[in-house]
Amino acid sequence: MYYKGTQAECDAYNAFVTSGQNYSGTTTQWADPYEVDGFWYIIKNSNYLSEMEEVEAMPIVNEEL
Amino acid sequence: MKLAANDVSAVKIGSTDVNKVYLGSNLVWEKAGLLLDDYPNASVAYSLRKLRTAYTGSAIKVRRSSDNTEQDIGFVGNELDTSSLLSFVGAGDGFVSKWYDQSGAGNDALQSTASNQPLIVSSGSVILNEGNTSISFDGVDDSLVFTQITLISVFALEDVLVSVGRGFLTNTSNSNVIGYGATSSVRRIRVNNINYEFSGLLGGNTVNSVINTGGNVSYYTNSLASSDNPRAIPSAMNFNSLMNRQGSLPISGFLNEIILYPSDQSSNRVAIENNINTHYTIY
Repeated sequence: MYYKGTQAECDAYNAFVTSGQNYSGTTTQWADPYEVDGFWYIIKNSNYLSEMEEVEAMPIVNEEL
Repeated sequence: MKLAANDVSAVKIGSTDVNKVYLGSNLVWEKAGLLLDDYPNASVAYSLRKLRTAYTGSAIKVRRSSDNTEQDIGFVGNELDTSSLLSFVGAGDGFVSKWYDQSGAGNDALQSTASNQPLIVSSGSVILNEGNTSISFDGVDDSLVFTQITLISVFALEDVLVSVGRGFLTNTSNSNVIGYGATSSVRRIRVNNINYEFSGLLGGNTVNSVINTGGNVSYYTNSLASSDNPRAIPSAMNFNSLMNRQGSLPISGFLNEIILYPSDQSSNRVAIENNINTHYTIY
């Protein structure tokens, strides 16, 4: 599942999850937000909820052959 | 008693392994070394088995899902220490945050983003692909990234989904790829935005060998030469990541081992392929 929103909302969600996860070692953050067709998406962490729209998957990125 | 060199797989005196046997001053048998002992000077070398006797580091760094703690996992003998791995991860999942470079160059493959880390333990069980411990990439966002190198020769054991224009060896900042072509029925090397297609084995556990001999590149799958060999590729083959082209075109599947050389390994190709196949039993 993914959350769909603005870049700022996705960045804030990433910061929210990251701050709660106590990462150490190599790991520094939860997820990278991706932009597809003007919308931003970030993968959902089921332990952290957001008011952003929830979607099953990101739209398929056009493949460069 | 007659004993031919090919009959000898191990010699022990007491509990000590014998590495060389001489008849007078003639070396008549030598214990086979690890892959990088016999074929050294790789640019980078990632594997779940030990590749070099002198290597004293770990194989991987693993993050466990239960509390996000990370721990290095090394070897028992020359194999991944799966007992320590399972003991550390427990009943949850284990993700690879770092695949250590065994070449000596220190060019480890990293993933600092939790959701992009590939899996090695799932619900308390080590990931196995065709009987071999493997790293599993989800084809959604997983990848590992290393400092860019220019390769001349590469040997990789992969089992990735046949996916148009994607591959197991990739670059985050350009479309370079070694993997699959436009029709899903060919192997592909893409360099500098140009596609070079090769016939070859598709899908399943496959030992890939790609060798650049003075700008002429040959592709082998399970030691079988592509009928398209060689193809002239004038541009440098630069790569810096595994399993995710341009950071947004991932591929799902398994990796066990990938070794990149900055030199032409044509004369060692079959021996290196045999070393990989002997260990993993692929073909």
